[in-house]
Amino acid sequence: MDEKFATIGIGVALGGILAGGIIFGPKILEKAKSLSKPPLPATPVVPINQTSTPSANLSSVSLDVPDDNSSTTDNAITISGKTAPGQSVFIFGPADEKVATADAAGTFSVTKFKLEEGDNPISATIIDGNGNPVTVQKSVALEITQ
Amino acid sequence: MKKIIPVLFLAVIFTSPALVVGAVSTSSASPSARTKPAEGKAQELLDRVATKVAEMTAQLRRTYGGKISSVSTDSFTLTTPEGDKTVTTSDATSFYRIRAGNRSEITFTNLKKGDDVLVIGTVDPQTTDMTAREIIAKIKRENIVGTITALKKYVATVKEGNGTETQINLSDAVSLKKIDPATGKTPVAKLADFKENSLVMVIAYVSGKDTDPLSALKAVVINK
Repeated sequence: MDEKFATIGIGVALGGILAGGIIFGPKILEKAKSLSKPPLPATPVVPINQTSTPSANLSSVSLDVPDDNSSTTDNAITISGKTAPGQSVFIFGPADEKVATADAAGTFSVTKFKLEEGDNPISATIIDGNGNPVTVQKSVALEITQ
Repeated sequence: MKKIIPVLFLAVIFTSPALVVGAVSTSSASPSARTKPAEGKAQELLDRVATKVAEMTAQLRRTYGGKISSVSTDSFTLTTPEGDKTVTTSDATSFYRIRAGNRSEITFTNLKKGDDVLVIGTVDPQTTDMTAREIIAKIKRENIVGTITALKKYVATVKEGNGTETQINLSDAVSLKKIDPATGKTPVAKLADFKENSLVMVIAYVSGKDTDPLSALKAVVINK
C-alpha cells in the first residue's frame, strides 16, 4: 500500500516538475537572457589634463525658462538658465530678486520667484572677468485671475 | 522495472495538461510580441499629441506689449518690438488698468491711441495677429542693469552692458536694497549706498517727457 502511494507521489512530483518546466521555462529563460545582457558602456573618463568644454563661457548667460513674452497664472515661478560653472547669477524683476550659483554643468535655477500682475521684465546678470555686467532679459506676464 | 512503468504513466498524465497549457500560453504570448510595434506607434502618437497640445498652450499664453497706434470698433493696432499687430477683442476679453500697483476693471472704450498695453491671447500663426483674452493698460517698465557712471542729486547715469546710457532718478524709488552675492541676502539700502561705479539693477518707467530721466520704482545695488 505504502509502495503504491510512494509510486503515485513520485509520478505526481515528476509530472509537476515537467509541467512547471514547460509552463515557466520560457519565461525563466527570457529573464536569464535579459540579465546576461552586456552592461551599458561606462561614462567616458576625461583625463585630468584635458579640460572639458563648459556649456557657456565666463562672459555669457542664458535663460531657458521662462519663455520670452509668455504668460502664467502662477504668482511665483521657476527661472533657470546656463552660464559658466560656479558663476553667481543675479535674477531681478519687479517683485523679487535672488542670487543663484551655477552648478558644475553651468546650470542655475531659482524657485518661487515672485511675479506682479501684468508684465514682468526679468533679467539674469553675471559679472564677467573684467567686472562688467552681462545681462539677458525675458518678459513674462502674470495673468489677472478673478 | 514494474515500479517504473506506473511512475512514467503518471508523469505522462500530469505532463499532458501542462503541454496543452504551455502551448496555449505560447500562442497567447506571440500576439503580445506582435503588438509591441503597435504599442510603440501608439506611444509615438501620444507624444505627438502631447507636443501639439504644448504648442497650442504656448500659443494661448503668448503676450504682446506696446503702444496702441489706432483703435477701431472691436480691435486695435498695437505697435510692438515685433512690428504692428492687430489685436481683436470679443465678449470674452477682460480689460484692466494697473496704475501705481492698483488694478481696476475698464472697458474697450477706455483704450486710447498712445496707451501702453499688455495683451495676453492666442496668436494666429498665419498673420501673427492676436485674439485677446486679457488686456492690461499700464505704464511700461524697464529693467535696467548696469554701472553708475555719473551721479548728480540722485539722478544716476547707468551704463548697460551694451553701452546704452540711461538717466534714472533713484530718489523716486519706493524700494532700495543691496544684494550680497555670497549670502544672497537683500537688506534695505540707502540712497547713499548708490555710488559711482556701483553695479545696479533698476525697475524704472517714463514719468514725464521722453527726454526726462526715468523714475525708479525699485533699485538694487550689488555689493562687489
